[in-house]
Amino acid sequence: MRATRLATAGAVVALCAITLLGCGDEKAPAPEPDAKNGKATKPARTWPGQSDVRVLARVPWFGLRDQEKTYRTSEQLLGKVWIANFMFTRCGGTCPLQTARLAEIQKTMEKDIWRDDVHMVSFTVDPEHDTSDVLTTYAEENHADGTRWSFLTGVRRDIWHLSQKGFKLFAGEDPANADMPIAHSAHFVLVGRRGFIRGYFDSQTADGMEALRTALAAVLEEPAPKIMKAVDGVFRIPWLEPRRKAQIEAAKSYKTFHDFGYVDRRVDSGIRFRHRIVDDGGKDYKAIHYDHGNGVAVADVDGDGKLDLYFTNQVGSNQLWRNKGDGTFEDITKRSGLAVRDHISVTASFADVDNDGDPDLYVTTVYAGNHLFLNDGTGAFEDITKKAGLEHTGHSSASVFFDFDNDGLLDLYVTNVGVYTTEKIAVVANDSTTLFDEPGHYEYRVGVLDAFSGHLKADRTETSRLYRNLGNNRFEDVTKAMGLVDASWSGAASPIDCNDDGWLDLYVLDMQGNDEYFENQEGKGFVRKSREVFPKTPWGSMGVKVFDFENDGDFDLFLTDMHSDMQEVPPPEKEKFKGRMIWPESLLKSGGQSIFGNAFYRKDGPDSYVEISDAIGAENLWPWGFSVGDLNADGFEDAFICSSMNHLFRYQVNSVLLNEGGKRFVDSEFVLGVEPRRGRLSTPWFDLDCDGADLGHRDCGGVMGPVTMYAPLGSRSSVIFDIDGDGDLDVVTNDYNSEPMVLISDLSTKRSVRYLEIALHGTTSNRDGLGAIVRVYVGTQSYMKRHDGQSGYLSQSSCPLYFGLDKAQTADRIEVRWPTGKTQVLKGPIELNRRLVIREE
Amino acid sequence: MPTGCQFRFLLATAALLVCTACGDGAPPAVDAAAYAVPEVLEIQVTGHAFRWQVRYPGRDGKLGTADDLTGERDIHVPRNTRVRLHLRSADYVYSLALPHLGLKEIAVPDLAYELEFAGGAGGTYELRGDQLCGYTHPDLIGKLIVASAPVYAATVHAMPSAVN
Repeated sequence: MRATRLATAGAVVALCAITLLGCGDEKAPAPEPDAKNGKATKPARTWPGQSDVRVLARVPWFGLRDQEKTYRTSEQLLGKVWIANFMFTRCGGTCPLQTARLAEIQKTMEKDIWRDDVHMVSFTVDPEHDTSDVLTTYAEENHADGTRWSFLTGVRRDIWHLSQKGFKLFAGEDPANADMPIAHSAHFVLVGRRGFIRGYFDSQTADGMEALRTALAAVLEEPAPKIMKAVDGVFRIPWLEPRRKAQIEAAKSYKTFHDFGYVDRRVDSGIRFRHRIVDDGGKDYKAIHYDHGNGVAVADVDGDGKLDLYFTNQVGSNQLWRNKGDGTFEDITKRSGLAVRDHISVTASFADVDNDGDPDLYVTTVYAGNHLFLNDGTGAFEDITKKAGLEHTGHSSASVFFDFDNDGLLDLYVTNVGVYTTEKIAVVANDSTTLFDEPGHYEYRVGVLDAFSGHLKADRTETSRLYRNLGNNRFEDVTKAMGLVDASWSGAASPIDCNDDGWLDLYVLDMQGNDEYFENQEGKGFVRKSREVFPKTPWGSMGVKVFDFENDGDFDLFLTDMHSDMQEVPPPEKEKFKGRMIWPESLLKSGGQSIFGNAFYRKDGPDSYVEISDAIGAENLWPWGFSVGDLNADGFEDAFICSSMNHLFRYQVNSVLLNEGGKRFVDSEFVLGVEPRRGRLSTPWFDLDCDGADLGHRDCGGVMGPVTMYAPLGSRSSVIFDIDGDGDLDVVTNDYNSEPMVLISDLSTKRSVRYLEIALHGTTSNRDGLGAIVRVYVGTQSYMKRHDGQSGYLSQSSCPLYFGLDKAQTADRIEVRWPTGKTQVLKGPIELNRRLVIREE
Repeated sequence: MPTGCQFRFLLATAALLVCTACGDGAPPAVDAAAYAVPEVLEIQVTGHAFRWQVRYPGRDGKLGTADDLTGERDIHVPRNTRVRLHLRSADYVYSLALPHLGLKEIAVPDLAYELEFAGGAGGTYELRGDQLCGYTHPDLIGKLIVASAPVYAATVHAMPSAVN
């Protein structure tokens, strides 16, 4: 059988060579990047113990699904020598011989001392057909040993991109070949232990195979980098499984619907974005605000009715991914003009600043100037920062669009953290862990060593800014004029109407001290009333959301606190308790007015709040920002809290808090399958050459030679919206120094989801209707939301309000109170399970 | 395989053992009377590269003069003497705690903090240092050693001179 197959394949190969059928493109591999006309264009890479096999391009990062449906990433191959090829199971051309030859290598290696160091990776270029199940069968037929041979599948666009851009091998349509219209390479690619390509070898010739065997033997002799971690709890996380079991047991008594779950569908989404960090978060780690990472925001940038995703990044481009409506996305960064490639971005806020019906975008950066981009309605943006009078350079963080003077134009509040960097410029390290698609020279300002005491030093203050929208895309800095000068080390802020006077007040978070609350004086200015209304606030406030937790008609205030949780690493069983603050007042400087953990202020009336975080289970460990949405569509808002610290810290789960009827939050991240994460819990963070350039590095310890340092994965921000239009809410994260999670909900298959999506169209008010309050009435129950765009730390999104309506059949009435103060009523019965656009009348 | 911290801890432990061995027996002969112990002993403690550098006044009893002496990690003080630690940092933000006295203070670059306490009876006490932000550094954990004035003087006198 095998002989027949080989013989057939050989014949087809011969035919290919003559007729150029689409079974193998036979295009020459790309020229070596380090040699041109025989002269080196850049120094050859050398490592201790390196063989004389040439070092070519680095394989970009990939994360795909194998024949056993397991999530596999390129970093899991670091340390191994691997042979990659591009194939597909229906291919009758070069593929059978490719597979047979890999099987031969597998067999040859069986008794080799290096057998555990060699891996084979076959990428299918026909992933729609070659599902994991198909690949399993194919692997079995070809006697592939699953422990040493992975067949990877995903999204066609993604894999073709990897072939073309990463491996420099052609993959594409071959219309001339009607039976098998996919052209791809028949070359084997040898990849060394550090993830660099070491050679291309023709799988179809004896000479090619001989050359491969020789190179393989040489590269196998090279030492693998040692895999290390800084602390315990990176690779082995003993508390994870017991906690999962305990939570699932506890969930049996949950009185909120939790019989549904999330699956990370990033591989199927086609999203290739990968967050990358400056070295101050890795190799040159400092306790510094760079590690707050980045935001992710959504808006329908091209007016097709679907919400598109914008990820911000530290190193490399921000990326805009267009939602194709079928659960997949396409990269439209280039034509959008939103890459902001050479700056360290922080956050993104979508809002319609010119009231023309499309979302514009404001992007903040670390001391490189912030940007206002105007959308032309098609998803093409123009940078109008200068023209708009918004040129500002600071250590900026979140920005909030709201109409503080109710004039129908969205104003902008930009938070500045404080000076946490120096004038010194460093270049981001390029090593095996930085396997991104945009290699290059990236500069950043080196951070100060003592950022945690920045609030003690007046000269490091950077006041946040309030800009009034003057119309015609012009803004004016009115910070002083409106009495909003504030020295907080602030990463976020939120509009809130504490005194219920219809004018949006501002809650400003301080991540190193007391939060501030500014009462709006009917649009004429702000008065600080921080301690009068909120006597105690979290010391290290990070994330914020104003929402009605109990459906009692009052907007409550939820705040997460990261920095209080930095004082010590509590054991997992203590995570739901407030910290026992061990830092002295000389550092805290909060006059005993601090809460050392998350705070939840239940609103009982105008300016009347009661802090109830412990009573309702709102505490968690190492939280960043969070998003709020009705994940189980029962009419009560739930919370997704990104939580973790990465390098130098143990793994920490993201928290999902389901709202149990407005009575308490119940921990549900394991119940819903959000934790543990798919595939892996740690990732390579940086490389060290411990007896070379990095001799004496603090993380080398006593180890010599090459080291790859691993750190736990962790998220920073998230956005909640219905990606696939099935009526339930999905979640997308922006993870720190890794790929995002695209968590798709199966709620709509587990219960009859009743919901309304309500989009606002302001006419007298601002076009987005930001600041409006929407109430949906069903029987005696009402559900209330303020449209504020706040979704996740560091981001503002432009998306419809999602009302989960439990078992309602119709809505009886909808009331919208517009920022102008006017209330508009839609009388029922109102049909559910649709998007409703309400135009201001 | 030790991590960076663990390895440094091993080194530090080894160093401690060696020093303990050296310190056995009678203290070196020092003219304790000539070694002035002021009413309030001023000592400068500086966090630097995850270690404490401790600067003591020399024979003149005044801190900040040419005859100052320096040690690392542990802080030595004489019995029944009032002590004022001047906390400094050359790089990161640190905290220094003396749990038996319930005292804690921070050390911040460019800023001055003090921690004052009575030396009290002789003994060896815990001195806990930390670099704020959760990352524990064993080298910052040392001892507060309270000894008789002659032993204190002998110990400090044997230290290297401070380099200004």
